Amino acid sequence: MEKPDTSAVLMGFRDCVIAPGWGVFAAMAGFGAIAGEAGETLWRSLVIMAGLWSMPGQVAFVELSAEGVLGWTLIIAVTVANMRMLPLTLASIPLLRDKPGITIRQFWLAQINSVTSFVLLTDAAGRISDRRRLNRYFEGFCLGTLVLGAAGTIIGHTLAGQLPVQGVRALIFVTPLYLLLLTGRTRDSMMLGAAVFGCIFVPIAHRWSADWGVILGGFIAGTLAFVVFESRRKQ
Amino acid sequence: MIGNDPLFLLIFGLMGTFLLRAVGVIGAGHMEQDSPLFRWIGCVAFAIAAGIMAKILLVPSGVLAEAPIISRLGGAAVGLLIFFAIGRRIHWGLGGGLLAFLLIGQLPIH
Repeated sequence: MEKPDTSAVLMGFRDCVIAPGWGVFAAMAGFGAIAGEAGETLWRSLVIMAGLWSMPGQVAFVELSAEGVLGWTLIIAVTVANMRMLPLTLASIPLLRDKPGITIRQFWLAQINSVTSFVLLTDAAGRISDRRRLNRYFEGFCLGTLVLGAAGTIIGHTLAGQLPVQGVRALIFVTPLYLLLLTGRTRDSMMLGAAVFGCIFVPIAHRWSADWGVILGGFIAGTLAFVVFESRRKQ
Repeated sequence: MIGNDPLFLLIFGLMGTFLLRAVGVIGAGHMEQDSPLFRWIGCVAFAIAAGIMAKILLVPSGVLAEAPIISRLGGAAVGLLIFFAIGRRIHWGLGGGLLAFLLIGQLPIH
């Protein structure tokens, strides 16, 4: 039986708690408040948070179900809102593969993955060469985001409106800045190019469509970076 | 027909997103890490991740939307400037950016 590398799990958990986890905490406090206002119980809010584990889908779910949107329409809307998880999973799993083929563990890691964890993974993959250790480190980081996310949901749900606005605002500001800085750490010019193009095209596309803008903008920006830098690489 | 039963909506809602992730795992199972396809998907995923962060700073929702755009962009700009100026040290960039965000937010210029 393979012995789990708990030190790597704890290291990932600690790295989450040091900075980006508090941004997740703040964002999920916001979600908890929204869910409470929409009439969701605390337990259902926690199940929605952990089960969907992607903010746009979570918010879409509680708001649409509060509006009484019917069955399949709601499910399709939530799935579309979380569509970004498909390319993130496709890009994450090959970096985490410590055995050939598809394993149950990969489905678990895909379920606890998020935008925050994906950005961390791209940075950690350059620092941690042992694939099994990287796998455990990533798991610890993701569990950290889930624990702080659950704590945020509980606080937001129970204390909605009583939290100091200035503090919550500062916590929410930390997450995008932290992740932008983390993307800036990559030494891969193609990925850096994709990040820069993404910062331009995604907000523009989002103005055109709140539902599809992120996916479309990311597709255009990523493809543009790939075409430009792949042709350079071949030269 | 699943109707509007809250429990069924919850279960099917969660299954929809899990299906996306499962398709990603199965798709990734047939992909080599040094292939052009993997690099292209990596570019799209990276662009989505960075783009979402830029979108949150430029057109946020909730309490961050109440902060003036000059403090959001000023804070991010100061953070990135410090980060790149001192050898890509994240915590210095983060601390400087957060401080700038809070200070600019207090200025009577908006």
